[in-house]
Amino acid sequence: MPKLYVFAIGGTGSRVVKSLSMLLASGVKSNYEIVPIILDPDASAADVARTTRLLNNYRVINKAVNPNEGNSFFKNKIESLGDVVGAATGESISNEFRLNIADLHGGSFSKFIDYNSLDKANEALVSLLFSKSNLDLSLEVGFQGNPNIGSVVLNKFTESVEYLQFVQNFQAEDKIFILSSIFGGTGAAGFPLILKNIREGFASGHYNEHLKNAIVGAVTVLPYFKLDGDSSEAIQSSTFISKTKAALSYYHKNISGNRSINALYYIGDTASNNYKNVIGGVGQKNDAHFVELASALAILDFADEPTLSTIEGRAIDPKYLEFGIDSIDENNPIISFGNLSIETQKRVKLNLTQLFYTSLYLDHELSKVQKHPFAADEPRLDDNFLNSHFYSSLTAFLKEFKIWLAELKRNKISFSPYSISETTDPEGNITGFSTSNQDIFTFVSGVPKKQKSLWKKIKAAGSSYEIMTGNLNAFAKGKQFANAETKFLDLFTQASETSINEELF
Amino acid sequence: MNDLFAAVYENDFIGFFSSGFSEEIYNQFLYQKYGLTLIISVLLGVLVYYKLMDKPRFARLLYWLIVLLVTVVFNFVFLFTDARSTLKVAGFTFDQEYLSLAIVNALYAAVLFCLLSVIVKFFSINTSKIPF
Repeated sequence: MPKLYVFAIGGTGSRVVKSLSMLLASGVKSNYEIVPIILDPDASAADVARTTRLLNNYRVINKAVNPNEGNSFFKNKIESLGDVVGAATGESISNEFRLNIADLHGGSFSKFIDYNSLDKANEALVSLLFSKSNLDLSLEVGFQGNPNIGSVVLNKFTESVEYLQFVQNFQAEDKIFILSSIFGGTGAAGFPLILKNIREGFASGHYNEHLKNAIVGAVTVLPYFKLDGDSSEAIQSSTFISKTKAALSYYHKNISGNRSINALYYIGDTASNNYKNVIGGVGQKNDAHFVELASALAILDFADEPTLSTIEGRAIDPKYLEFGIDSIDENNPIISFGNLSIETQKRVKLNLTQLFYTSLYLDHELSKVQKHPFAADEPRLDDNFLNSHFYSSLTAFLKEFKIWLAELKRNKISFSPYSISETTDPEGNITGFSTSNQDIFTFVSGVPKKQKSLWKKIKAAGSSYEIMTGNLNAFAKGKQFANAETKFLDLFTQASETSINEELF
Repeated sequence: MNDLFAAVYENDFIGFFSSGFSEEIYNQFLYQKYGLTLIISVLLGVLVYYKLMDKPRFARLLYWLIVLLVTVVFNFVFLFTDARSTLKVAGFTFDQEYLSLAIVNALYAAVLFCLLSVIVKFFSINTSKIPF
């Protein structure tokens, strides 16, 4: 299967990849193997750490997917660059999703460029381009909203072994997508830089024509949040718009102007939410936002787009796109499935709801139904299975899925397709969500349960979780499974889909 | 068929035979009646549980035992009351014999219910793990 390399630059890039992995986990497919390459100098950034943990769990779960099953949770393969290179060449490079940037081991920017050993002329030039605070800036927590620094530091990535491996292994049918925000430091610097290097097709003396003519898409996320704090803060959201304007002007000339990109998605929102102003590190942990989900949808839209082509490193008939929802109540700006366009609904509504109900079922019902045929028949979904590495990876992933849904609901603009109440720890961090004790098929906002005839009511397996259990038993009946993990994924995908179609959509 | 059921009800292991009473049951063709009733009612009971009640909420031993009990009690009561009224009309007066044959009938109903459950449960979706 061809690969879609997704360069996720900076915190926004990581958070978009998180949304993408949630969509893929729910069974949304791209027809490409996704290869996320996370570029963030801040190794300890909480958002990056959350995303890499999520991707590692996804990778474990994906290995159990039945390749012959058309639809399944976690069906779309996600691999690291190390996995791709290892499979193609047998060489062993790091299989981490976040790649290190050479020579970036903390310290200041002046140390990174070896400022003290520059000759007089170069020292003067550097002093002209970078202020003293720029030179003294600690790179341990990113570029702190300074794309002029980011563009120098991130250039090192293109000299890395990993980038060379990427260049050498890129195939004609593969695609590339670049995720970045336009209003910060890391993403704003990284996007044009990565794109320029791709179009050159070179890495450490190796040339790949396929890379030069690759189909490249990108989403540049426009300002969608504000930051707390005053003018003393290193990063101030008051500069977001001016930075965006400057970057757009640069992109106009150097990206869209020279037809470097095949598809460029602009996604943003009127920033009505305030995040805590934390400069990188473990404290930089922003709630998931609908804009990130929309950006993840841009990746899937790009993957499905068959008309794009590149000749001599120049995009033929490039596309520039925006994302929009169908409608919104200005007095109560909450997005549910009904507010999305029909196309978006088709892409995500059923799949996300399947994963939502599966996660509820695992939390509240699975331990009670272990003697039911679907669980008790071989291969068993018993205590051994519940203690397996696969299941612990799955529950860890679904915990993040629930946090993700609750964060999307709490954020502004709120994306709240389900009737859930977010739960928080004493610091206010979301830990998941709770639901009422009502029938679970009343939890999809704006979607009432289907009315059934008396005969269908009699025939039905029951109500709420019993519907799912009945369908799990029905799908398991007479079927052979290679192992418990495959059985679990097959059954829950099919049972949740049938249950939802019977009761809701 | 009456002979066949008579052999079943009067066997030496768990059957019941009492001279006079058993002969009258045989002569009135009641063995055939109770045997057929037993088979049909047990089959019905098993089908009710494994097909009509084939839902997750009923996939518990308790519900299976309830249906078993209803079937057993029905067969006990049916034989006891029917045999007594039939033989009374014919002018016979027996006492403990009705109870003994009804207990045998109930026992057969329980055994047959268990045997049929083992077969029919494989045709069930939700209750195939009941009783084991």
